[in-house]
Amino acid sequence: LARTMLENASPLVFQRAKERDVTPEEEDDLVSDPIDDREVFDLVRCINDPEHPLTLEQLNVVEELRVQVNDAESKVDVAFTPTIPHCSMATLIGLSIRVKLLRALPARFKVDVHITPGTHASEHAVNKQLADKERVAAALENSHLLQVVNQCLSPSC
Amino acid sequence: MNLVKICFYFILQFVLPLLLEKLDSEMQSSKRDALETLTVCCATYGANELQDSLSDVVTSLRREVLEPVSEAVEMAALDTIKALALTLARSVMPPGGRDLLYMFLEDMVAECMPTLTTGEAKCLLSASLLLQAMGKACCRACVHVLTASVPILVKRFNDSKQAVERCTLIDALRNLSLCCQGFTEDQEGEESPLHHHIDTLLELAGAAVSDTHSQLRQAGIALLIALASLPGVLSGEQLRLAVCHLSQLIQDPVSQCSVSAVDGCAALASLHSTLLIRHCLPPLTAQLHKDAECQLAMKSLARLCLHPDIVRHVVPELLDHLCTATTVADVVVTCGHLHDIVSQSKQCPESLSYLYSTLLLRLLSHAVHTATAYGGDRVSDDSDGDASIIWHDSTVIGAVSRLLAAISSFAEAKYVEVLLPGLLSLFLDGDGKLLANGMLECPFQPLQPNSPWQQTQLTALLAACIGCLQRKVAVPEWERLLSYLVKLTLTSEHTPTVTSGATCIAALVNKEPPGPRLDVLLKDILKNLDENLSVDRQHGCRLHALKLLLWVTKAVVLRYHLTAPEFVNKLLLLLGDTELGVDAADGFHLLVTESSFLLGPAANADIRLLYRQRLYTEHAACLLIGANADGDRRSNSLQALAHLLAALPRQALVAELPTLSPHLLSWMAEPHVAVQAAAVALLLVALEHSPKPLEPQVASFLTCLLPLTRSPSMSVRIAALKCLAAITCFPPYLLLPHWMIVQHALAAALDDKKRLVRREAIEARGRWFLLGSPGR
Repeated sequence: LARTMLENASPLVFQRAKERDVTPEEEDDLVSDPIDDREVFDLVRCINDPEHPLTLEQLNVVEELRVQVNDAESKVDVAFTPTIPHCSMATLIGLSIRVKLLRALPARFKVDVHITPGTHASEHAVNKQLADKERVAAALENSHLLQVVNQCLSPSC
Repeated sequence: MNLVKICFYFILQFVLPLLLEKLDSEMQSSKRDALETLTVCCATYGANELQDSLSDVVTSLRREVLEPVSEAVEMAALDTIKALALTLARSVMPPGGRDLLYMFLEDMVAECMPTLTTGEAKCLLSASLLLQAMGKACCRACVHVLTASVPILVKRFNDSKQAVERCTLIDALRNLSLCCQGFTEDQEGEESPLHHHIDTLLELAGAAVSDTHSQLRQAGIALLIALASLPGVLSGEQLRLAVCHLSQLIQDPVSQCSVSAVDGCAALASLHSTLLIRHCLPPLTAQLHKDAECQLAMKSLARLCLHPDIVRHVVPELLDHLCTATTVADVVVTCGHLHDIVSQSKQCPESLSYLYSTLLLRLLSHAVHTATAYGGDRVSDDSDGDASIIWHDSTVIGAVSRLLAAISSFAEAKYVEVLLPGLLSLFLDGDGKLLANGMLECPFQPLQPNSPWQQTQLTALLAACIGCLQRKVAVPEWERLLSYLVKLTLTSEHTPTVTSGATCIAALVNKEPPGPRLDVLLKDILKNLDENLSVDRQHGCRLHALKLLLWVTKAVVLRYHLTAPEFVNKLLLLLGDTELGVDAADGFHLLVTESSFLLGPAANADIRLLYRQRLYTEHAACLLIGANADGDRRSNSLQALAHLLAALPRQALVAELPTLSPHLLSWMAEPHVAVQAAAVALLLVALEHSPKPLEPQVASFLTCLLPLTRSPSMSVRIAALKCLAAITCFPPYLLLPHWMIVQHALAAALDDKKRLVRREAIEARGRWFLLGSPGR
């Protein structure tokens, strides 16, 4: 992580989506609102990029159409797209998304975080690391790594 | 600085080069400043002084408009062009000299010509703005600009096949047409600068409005409206045709342009009301009788009512429709449209006087006739299937009374004073002289408690007519009216009648100037209330007395009357009552919320700004004593206190924190949702503003807050989760011992059925995860 040069010094910045409007149904105490794609997208879009003072949404690393949620079957699938094919931060970004969802979603959900197919050189290796629960748990034992992840997850927007 | 620069003639030769240099700057603000100075210079100096630098100035100005970088600079440049053209037009031409204005116009038009003939849409609009700025300067410039540009734009429109390009061309033509706005009225006898182009423009607008492309139709409508709104430009026949065209578009819902056509016609209402009445209203009024098109027609008719003559034509039609409506929903919708007409007419005294004298009277007549026709014994007779039976519905009476209240609140005092005596003799003595069709079929005694409810519920209409008047209007027979109303409110068994009676009394009490008459009345009301609230009375009777007490209390509290504490204390005593305690506590909600109808700001009520704070300051101590008592009194006092606290502004709450904080824990443990909500809201304010004093009790707060995250009320759950998030401002060593238990509760809240609750749970959980963790 200790680098002297940024890999992608001037990334393309994308426009942020508008905040979700509160509907009358959401304010009605009796109606239940299922967890949907947009709700999970809202969780991950505010994660800060490890390198830039920008969010993953602004860098187009996460997009709403790449978030699939099935509330009934308790499944969440998030695909993220690194800004460049050799991005060494891909694992860290994936870990941040994973930890954010671990903290923000009910325990019943099975979460799958992976790289959008064909967008990274070592896609399979990264996906394998992210899918391994023990490796994720071990990574969070590392206080330095935890510090970086917490910085990515600190509320900034 | 601008003034200094232009004060002396001799410095102009130094100023102009400086300004030109500033115009070439990269800084947008200095460009704008230079342009504004130049505009002032143009107004001060004559053409002769400016002559030498004219060509350089023109080049710079042209660049700023035709290649715009910022909107503000472009606007400033357009202003300068207009000022420059005006200065040149005013110049006196020396013998044998050149016409400076002509040269300036020729130069500019020649520059714009390639853009007008073949340029892209954006450049075309910039060029049209430049030409418009020159045209606005004087009549001669306007004629020159129009002669040069209109034929080219029209030809391009006719040759073009692209709808979007044609829209831009129409917009450019509309801008150009509007530049002759100032030269049509004041020069009588002279032709308008648009005179030679009007036929072509009308033809073009006609082609656009009948096109299949909806955006093009909208642009065509805008051009048509612009031409029709220029006085003296269109001939009578041309205007008629234009209005007929618009009228057809309004009636055709398939065209998707009816809304813009209606808005366009509304813009013409004050200029061409006669034409609209003749050609636009008849087809729309005919549609009122067709079920499918009725709603749209009513909406369009209401929108057009911007001129007294149109109001006079439309209101009777809508009234006929209202009186023959067969469903409650239809009456409510029609009343809504009439309400829109009243709101639109509030600036027009002529329309208001008509609405007051006609609409109000017709509505009253119809309501009174339907109430008396089926009043008394005849109510259950063969009334089924009759349209007027729906006028007995409380929703209809509510909608009509809101409409009457709107008319009365805007009406001028001189009209009201003419009508009031008749209105009061109708309600007090059953005298029907005021009404449209004179005699009544049955005696009409709406203020007598033994009258049928169909009649007594019309007290709502009386309340609307006299409760919303301006405060300076004196109500005749005030004492008799109020004694009738008090008697009706306390003895009637029909609940809507009681509510209307109580609100009417409250509105009159609120507006009555201080004096012995008011004091006697309030004393009388207090005496009557004492009798009717005594425990030996029936529950229904006591409940109605409580309603009167609440409304009169509100009236006196709003205006800071001296007797207000007496009334509030009576209400406070009732908090310990087993029968009425809960209703009395809920009544505090009525006291502190703003009424939308009677006793609201729109109803000209006397409302002091800080009445909520004053009510709280005077009575909080008593409520706090009640809140520490036992039984019903405790819960009701807390409920009342919760209502007061919810209405207090945040700054006032912060000031009250030291008094209230010690009670927070016991309130959060109360079973009442309103009390819990108020307590948690208060805790949140305390955590945000002064968390330090709460730190020692952190364990107790967490114990109380965690069960509230599972409360049945969404607002309590949200507030509790917000508190759990805010509490993370405490030092971590205080919170970490509770980390496990809090995280467990928050994990459960993540699966809440409401999205808004989940959002707060995620926020709180995220903050708790960061507690004491690296990278916070």
